[in-house]
Amino acid sequence: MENMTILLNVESKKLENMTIKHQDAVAIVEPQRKRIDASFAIKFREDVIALVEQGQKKLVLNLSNVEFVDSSGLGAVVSIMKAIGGNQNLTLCHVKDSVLAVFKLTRMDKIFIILPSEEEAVARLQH
Amino acid sequence: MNSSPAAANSHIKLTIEGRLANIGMVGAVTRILSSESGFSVMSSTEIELAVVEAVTNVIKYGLSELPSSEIDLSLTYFEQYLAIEISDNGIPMPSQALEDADGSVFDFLEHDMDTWPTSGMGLSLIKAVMDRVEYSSMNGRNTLRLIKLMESIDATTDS
Repeated sequence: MENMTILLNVESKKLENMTIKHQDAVAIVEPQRKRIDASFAIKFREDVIALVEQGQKKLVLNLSNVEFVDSSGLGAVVSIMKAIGGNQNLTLCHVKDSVLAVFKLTRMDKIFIILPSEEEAVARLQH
Repeated sequence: MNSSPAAANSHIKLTIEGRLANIGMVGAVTRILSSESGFSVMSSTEIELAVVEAVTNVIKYGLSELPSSEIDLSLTYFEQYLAIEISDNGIPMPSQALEDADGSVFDFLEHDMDTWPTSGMGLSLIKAVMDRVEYSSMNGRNTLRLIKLMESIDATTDS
């Protein structure tokens, strides 16, 4: 049960400004900050990529609390997506209009898989 | 809901300590001031984005070797446009940087992960959301000037 041990270690680790829960093999990461900017993006990226390096293969980013993302935040999400092997392993949900506008400005809406709800975002990764 | 536009030629100046922890507040203040001056929610967010990107660049690159430095942010509301100036006394931006930020960083190939950018998007984003972007560096003083045209009353109606 090596994989379960890794997940338990992740769950017991206190991650600043993020909550993590699991649904089957999918980890749902929910930043608790309103802004993913240069003051938070590096930590955010490092913490989520650490999950990937510990064996997490499917991720949902629930952005329901996030109202603002700048290029640092965008870069962090793209880095996470690259680390996990592409958009077939990462989905986003509850993306606010203000954040979606930045995705569209940068064409990132073409590579991010964005679903309206957490349930749909999880389901997309389970198929 | 439309806010009453600010009086033309009103001027607000802020001095920011050059720390990344201050970026959020700078952005929020910029967004609120823009909204109060009559810009739509989306335009106010775009202005916030431009200012945050600019201030972040100054902190990360211009002031990286200068502890406890300050950045001056000024917003001047004219009848037809908003003028924003971000000024600092740090290391100037490379002369070609603004011109090179032509948006090509966003021309990645959707099916080729290696082309997806993880950095270097800030200046292109600023140019994408503002109507004019200018940069000057003289006598140790660097200034990025951003212009955003005022919207018509119809455009400020938010659904």
